[in-house]
Amino acid sequence: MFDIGCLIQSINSYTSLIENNQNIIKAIQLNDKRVIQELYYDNRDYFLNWAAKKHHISFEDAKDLYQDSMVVLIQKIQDRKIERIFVSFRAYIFGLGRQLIRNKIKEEFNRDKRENIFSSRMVLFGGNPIEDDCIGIVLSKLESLPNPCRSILTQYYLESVTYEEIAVSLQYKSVNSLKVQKYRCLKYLKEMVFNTKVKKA
Amino acid sequence: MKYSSQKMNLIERYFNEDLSKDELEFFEQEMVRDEKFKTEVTQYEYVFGGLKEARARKLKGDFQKLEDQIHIRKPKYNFTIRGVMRYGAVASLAVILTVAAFNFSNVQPNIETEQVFSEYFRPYPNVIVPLTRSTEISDSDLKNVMRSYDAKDYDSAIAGFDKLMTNAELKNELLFYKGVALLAKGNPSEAREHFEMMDPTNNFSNQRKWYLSLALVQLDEISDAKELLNEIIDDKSYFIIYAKDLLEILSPK
Repeated sequence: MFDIGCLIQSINSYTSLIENNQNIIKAIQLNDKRVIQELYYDNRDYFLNWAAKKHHISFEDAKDLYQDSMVVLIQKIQDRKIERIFVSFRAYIFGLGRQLIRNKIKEEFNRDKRENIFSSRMVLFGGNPIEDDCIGIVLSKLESLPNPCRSILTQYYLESVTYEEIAVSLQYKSVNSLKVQKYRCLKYLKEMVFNTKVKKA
Repeated sequence: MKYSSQKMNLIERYFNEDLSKDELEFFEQEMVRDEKFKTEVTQYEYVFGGLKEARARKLKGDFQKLEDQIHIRKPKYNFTIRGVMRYGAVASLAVILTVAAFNFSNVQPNIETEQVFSEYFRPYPNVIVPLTRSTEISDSDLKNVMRSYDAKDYDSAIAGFDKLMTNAELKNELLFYKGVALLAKGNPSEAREHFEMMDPTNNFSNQRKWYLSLALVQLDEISDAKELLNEIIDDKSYFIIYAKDLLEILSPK
């Protein structure tokens, strides 16, 4: 017989799962490190056990894949590519991990190749693999940028700090003036990377 | 297309796949029409790609730091001096228990709770400052209190936690850290009260169970401590290794 009480209970628990997920997503969008840390620890052991038992992956490789799955998850949320999650976070992380494991099996993953894991991560992001050089060059030029450019670009792109927070910390009159400055800085960075005529930002 | 912040905005949103249908159409037309613009877009693709990957690496580095924290807390099983001393301590404990069982066969064997406690207790690392984004507590107040906690100046830290305790948003965290500080100061009964006041479903729920079980060990309430340790094992939280180890010590055969 159809159990309406059981159905209502299921709907309620599903609703609370979705609400809880929204809170976690909001916190990650704000780069709340506590929440990210809790999420990391809460799912870590399950993931490692699952990867080891089901996919016969060593602890070290499983840990590496888990970190990559978490990187993809956090970046997708902070880039607003994921606005809602309709399953548990654990299931979602396992889904990302499963895709990375498939890539790993395809590439006969080994420790040397793990250095190039970013390329499989880029597949998940739907982008093209970026050469290692690119990161080195962009990072070194970013580090040599004078302030406020270095500070603005580092906070915005590497630390996911919001415009509002950067504007307050660097004492900009408005978010708009900060955005204009950020674009000038990006242009400056691009000119440095491509070694073209550099104008002071 | 000449430089303008609007153009930059358009390029960035193009890479974020955030353009409307009309904007995308315009963008693609410009790419065909203006060779210089096309080159510029390609160059920005490189820059944005580098920034994105650098961010991924930074995130991964942050996760590696979390792993290192786990390793610091994990008991070591290889034969280091500490390990030998530890097993020596456990062996001594076993001898004491055997003698006690021989002399008082009708009495429950005593556990050297102080010794067990000091073996397992480590102050939980500060993970809330400077990471917190609390709006109700001024950052500097919390920073000062956590600085005292980090410096093991537990008297100042406890006084500071009390001052901040009215903050509802961080109440769980404050109760937790105050509880740990009380444990470190050798006040397990007050520490227990603080852990019990925490919302067990909120932040630090796993940590709460572990430190509460340590407080119970110190208070000699072994059966309650064992119950909590079994919960930690069932939860498979990251204290599981400690919990299994401690449970074994608390359940002499």
